[in-house]
Amino acid sequence: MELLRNAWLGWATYIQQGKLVILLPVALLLFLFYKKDEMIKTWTWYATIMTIACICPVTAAVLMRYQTAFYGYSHLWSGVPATAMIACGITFVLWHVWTGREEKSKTYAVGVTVLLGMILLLCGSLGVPAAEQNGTSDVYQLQEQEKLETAIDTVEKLRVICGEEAEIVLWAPTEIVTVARVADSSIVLLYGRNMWDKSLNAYAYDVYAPEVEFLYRCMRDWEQSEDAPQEEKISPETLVGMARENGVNCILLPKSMERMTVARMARSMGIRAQKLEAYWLLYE
Amino acid sequence: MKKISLTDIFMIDFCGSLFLAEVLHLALMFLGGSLREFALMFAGGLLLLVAITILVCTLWNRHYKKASDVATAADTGRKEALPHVFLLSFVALVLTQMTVILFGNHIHIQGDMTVEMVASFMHTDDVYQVNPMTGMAYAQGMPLRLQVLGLPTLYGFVCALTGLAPELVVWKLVPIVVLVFGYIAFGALAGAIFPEDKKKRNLFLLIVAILFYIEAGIGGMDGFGLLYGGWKGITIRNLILMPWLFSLMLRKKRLLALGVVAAEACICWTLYGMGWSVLIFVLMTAIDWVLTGKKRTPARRVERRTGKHGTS
Repeated sequence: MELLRNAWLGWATYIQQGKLVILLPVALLLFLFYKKDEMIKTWTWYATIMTIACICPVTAAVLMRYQTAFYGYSHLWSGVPATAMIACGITFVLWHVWTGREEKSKTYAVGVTVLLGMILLLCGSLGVPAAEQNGTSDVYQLQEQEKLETAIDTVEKLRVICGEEAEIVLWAPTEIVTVARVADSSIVLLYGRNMWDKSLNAYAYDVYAPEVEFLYRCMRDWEQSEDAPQEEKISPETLVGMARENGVNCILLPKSMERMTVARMARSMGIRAQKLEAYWLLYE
Repeated sequence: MKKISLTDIFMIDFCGSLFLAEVLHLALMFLGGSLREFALMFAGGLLLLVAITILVCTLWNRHYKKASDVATAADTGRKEALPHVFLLSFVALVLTQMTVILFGNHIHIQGDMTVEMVASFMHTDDVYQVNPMTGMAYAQGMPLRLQVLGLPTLYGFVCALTGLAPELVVWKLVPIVVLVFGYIAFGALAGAIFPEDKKKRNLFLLIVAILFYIEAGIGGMDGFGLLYGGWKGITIRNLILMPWLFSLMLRKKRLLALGVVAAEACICWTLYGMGWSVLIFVLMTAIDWVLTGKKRTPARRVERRTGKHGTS
């Protein structure tokens, strides 16, 4: 039923970000009824059958089962040559209006070309798509490379401070956790990106202990506000103890945190907190 | 007998490199060893593959040229500027897309851990020894259907051979290679659709390049995959394998099409090896059979009635 629900919602969600795929049935109708080209007849019929199958919820659900649950609705369209078919249709239309025309009817050809261009621009979506959570498994959120690179720089500086050969088991905010193992694969993390990006859990059977999930929620609360953990009133010393029980020997905290909390956590580790870019570093 | 085009040679080598990486990946996984040593084997194997492909295809085409007396479409004898205008515009767009990939500010890493995997492989000099997300040993392991896919190991080979950092190889170098081969594949498709007309082929490629930009803001479409996630298996499948497969099916080169089926199984999670290319192969073959079968039927009826071939 979940599969059928995703298939039912899939088409509506798929065309929310851009209507370009609507041009595909237009191109198919062109080739099926007007420009009947023997060369691509098989291809046209294939694309027609697959387009209908991807739009109709029942056949879409069957195809989603075939492609396995690892993929979402939008991946169904991998089997449909949308880009090529639309490009083919536009090629034929442009060729038809531009060739064999006398000089005076060039205006018509220019007009059709401009109109096609406007339709393409209106149907598509130039630039970065807006991040959407749309109730299905398809989410296309982009990360900014500048932010990733800033975080990578921080991790590299962390490595320099801790020492090239030092073993680091790190508990850090999300932007650091996102790139820590990209920048330095010798760093071990308390939790990875799959803590908040649940689609990554398909890559392994491992699950996080409830304690680790709690520590993630604490860090997330600190990132979002300066207050102490919202859930339970647990002392910073206890949190450090929980982290150390899970092997953590290095903690990065957002600079926006209460200095008292940072100081208490550092004292419980027997060290002093030091500044590292936009963070407090606690390293034993 | 059909000539093997230059684009087909490129694509055969591309698929061949995927197979080679897959074989070495499985050997590394089940037999153990050093990833860096296997990278050297990959380099040697790839050079051999390219040399053999060029040799075999050159000999094949020479034989085809001698055996065939079919005249190709004659040039008008007059050099036209239009195909070159389309081609230059296309090349300009491709260069801008390369710029976006290399220097753009956005990337789609959601649901993807390729860089972490490759970085882990390089650190351990082996495959799947630690969980790429945390760097700790696996407690319960990962699905075998994902472990057998060879793409992260291929990227690991490239890192080992070039000395480049995993994020540079995966996020920058590989998408550029995918872009180039993607257009080669679309070029093959253009050749299959417009075999006699260079102007239409170049116009088709130009429109494809424009469409990629327009699709860039639509998650899941080809342009989005190319500009923001060019290293992923599904992007390679959609931009390279699928267009080439369609061109092979249009040209009735079904043996090579079976190679695409195998290539997809090496890079994407499939249903026990059956991916989209299997469906495309089966469905297009079936449609082709039905369409050609309809044409044959009237002639067969005449043969049965008269007992003669051709006219009575």
